[in-house]
Amino acid sequence: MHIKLLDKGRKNQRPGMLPALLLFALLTGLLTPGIGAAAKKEDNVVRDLDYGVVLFSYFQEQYFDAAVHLMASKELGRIPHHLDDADLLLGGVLLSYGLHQEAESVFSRLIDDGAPPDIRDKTWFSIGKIRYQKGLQADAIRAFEQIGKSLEKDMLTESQLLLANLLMGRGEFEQASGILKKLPGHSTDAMFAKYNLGISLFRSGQEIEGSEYLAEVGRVKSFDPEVMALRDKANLALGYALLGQEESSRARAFFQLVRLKGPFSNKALLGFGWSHAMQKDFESALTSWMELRSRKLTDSSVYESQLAVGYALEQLQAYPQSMQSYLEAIDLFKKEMSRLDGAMKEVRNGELMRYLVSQALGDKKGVISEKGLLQEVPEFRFITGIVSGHQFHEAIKNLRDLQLLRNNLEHWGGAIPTYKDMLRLRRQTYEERLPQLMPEQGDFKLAAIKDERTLYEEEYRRIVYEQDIRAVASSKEAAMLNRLDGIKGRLQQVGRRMNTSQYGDYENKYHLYRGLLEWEISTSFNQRAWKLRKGLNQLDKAIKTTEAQQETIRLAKKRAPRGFEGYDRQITHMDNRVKALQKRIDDVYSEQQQRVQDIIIAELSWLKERLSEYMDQAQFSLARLQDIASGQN
Amino acid sequence: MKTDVVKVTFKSLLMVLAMLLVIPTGYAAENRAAALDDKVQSLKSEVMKLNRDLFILEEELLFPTSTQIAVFLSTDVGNYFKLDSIQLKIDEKVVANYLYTQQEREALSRGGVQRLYIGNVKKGKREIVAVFKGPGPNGREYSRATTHVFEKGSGTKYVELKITDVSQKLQPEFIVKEWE
Repeated sequence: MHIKLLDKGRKNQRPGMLPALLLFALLTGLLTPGIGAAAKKEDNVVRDLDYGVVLFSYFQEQYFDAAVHLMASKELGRIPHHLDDADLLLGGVLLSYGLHQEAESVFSRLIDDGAPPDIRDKTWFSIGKIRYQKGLQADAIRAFEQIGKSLEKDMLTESQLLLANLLMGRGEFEQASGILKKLPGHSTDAMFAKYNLGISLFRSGQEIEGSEYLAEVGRVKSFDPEVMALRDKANLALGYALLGQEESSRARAFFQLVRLKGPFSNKALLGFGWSHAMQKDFESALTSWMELRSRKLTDSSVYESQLAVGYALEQLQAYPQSMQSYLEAIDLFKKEMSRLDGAMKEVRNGELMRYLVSQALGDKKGVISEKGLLQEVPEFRFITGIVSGHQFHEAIKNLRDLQLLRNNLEHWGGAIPTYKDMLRLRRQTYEERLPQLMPEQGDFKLAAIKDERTLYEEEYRRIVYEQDIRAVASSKEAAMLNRLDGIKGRLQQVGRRMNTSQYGDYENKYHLYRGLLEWEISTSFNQRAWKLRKGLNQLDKAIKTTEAQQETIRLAKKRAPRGFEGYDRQITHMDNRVKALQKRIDDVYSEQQQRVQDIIIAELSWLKERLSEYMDQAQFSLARLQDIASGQN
Repeated sequence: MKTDVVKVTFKSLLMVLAMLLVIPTGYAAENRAAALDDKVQSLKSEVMKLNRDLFILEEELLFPTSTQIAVFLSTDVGNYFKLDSIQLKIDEKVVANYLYTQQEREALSRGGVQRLYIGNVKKGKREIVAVFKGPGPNGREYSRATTHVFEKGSGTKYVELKITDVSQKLQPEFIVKEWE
């Protein structure tokens, strides 16, 4: 697969960049759900094991572990074959972990290093997306405008949608509309963008144009829950907009398009009732409001239905029932306000926060399950509106991430004393063994050996110079030579007592044997001398090895304390870093927690204020009905 | 006659409309939230770098190059073998037992490599035995041991256990590879 692509397309690009390109598809797959999951084995040829280890964490969405292992492996020089991919992977990992700024600087470096067009376009796409998520609109637009012609279709579509959103944010509706018209129609993202454009046009007073976009979204056929919710929302917006213009019949048609079991059904029922009420059809209004009133108290529309039912009954002149309805409403509002006070208390004492964070910790992406929470924490229904918001979700995610950082530092905080103990033990062991490792003693012995060696060398030279055959004779030969010397002496002693002929025979034999022996030795003298030389050379080698070992010991002795001190310093430094970070994390955690609490309290206060307003209203209405009943009005 | 209830509920209607007319980009973070987000990012980055330094220090201290051995596991797509567990022995001593989740199996089949074990051994001849368990080609429980003898020198020893699909035999193959 790799080879094919190389041959076809980019002959001039650096060899390492092609796997990088495939890797990018993989990384951006995480940004664009679906593509990453389709990544195949052959795209990830691992040539360094540690790189594979990074991918193992990355594929399991353990981005922190992946980033740490990648950075450490790079530092330790363990991924020499993946250096090109490493930065790209690091950028993707950092982005997935939420480190937008660092990810952007990694991607920017890749562009500065002259990445090929495909990589450059995808990198600009990622940078644009990062900036978009950070709310840096002008910078995001500039990044998207840098994208050339080498971007894959899916990413190009996404970039255009984001660009359209950004242009809407700047009020450049025509340009946004122009982009959206060129895009394929019914994707989820396209629907969101069209909804946004419809709303933006509405807000800018271009209601007709806005209605067209909203109506298009409101008619879309889809089984995607996100799109279905968006469709409901578009119809609801159109319904309320028409209601505001007192076009109740047209408004009702849009309310009817909202699903009865969808997340916007409460608001639709409320509006639907009002569309009837505007036409003085209070019976029909009452039907939808009664249905709404019977629903769970998870939405402000349900509270409003408590008043609306009383109002409809009043309009139908069913005064006792209307009074009863207002009484029930007052009772409910009182109870709900009391529950709100309880919820605020739980928020302030951190109970709810702890629960939310523990829930977020249980999910890999830090998502809180609304359904589960509603069962566990009844007060949670008061804040479902804000919990689904991006800002709240990000804040909870931050708390979860900070808690994970805390856990991580707690682990290291526990490990560091062990390292200290280990180092102390090593130092102690070293110091205990130190007396046995005295290179100085060895030096003394070695000097004596070297002196001896000098003597051997001199002796060798003398033997060679004098051709001393006796010195090179074997022990057997030396014994024979000694024996011949003895024979010679005895011949000289007894020679005078022998006759000349007998003496001559013995002397001849002596010379013959001696000659034979000396000839034997002298003919192999060079060979025997070479053996001596070889022995001396081996001795030289052994001396050199010993000297090197002595030097190693000497150096180790010199360096070991420095090594211990170095590690000691490093461990202390790390310990300080852990403690300093723990403190900072605690501070930011408190700040972030306070921020989330403020958001929740603001929401609860706002709700309480509204309930109080509703209660006042119910009480006024009740008083008025009582007046009617007592005939004073 | 428009009662006060009507006024209140009409006010509510306008609020609903206003809520609907908010563009749901959700990215317009407030300054305070953005500043906090920056702080969190900075902390994440610093903790990450600290972890990198501690990772290196820990390896140097606990697993010096002269004695370090690391055993890795990689797998093929897994058509003929679904890895459930591994037991790893070095010189007849069990050093690792591992049970795999579906997510880990998927990460391995996509090209990820697991560092199964890191430890210390002395120089010289060493024996590694890995026992792989899981459903085999016919769905039956499959248990296979692989033995490998290697020479531990003065440098780090990397050993890779590799499970590959052999299409011709319709069987998995268990390979041990030494890395320098």
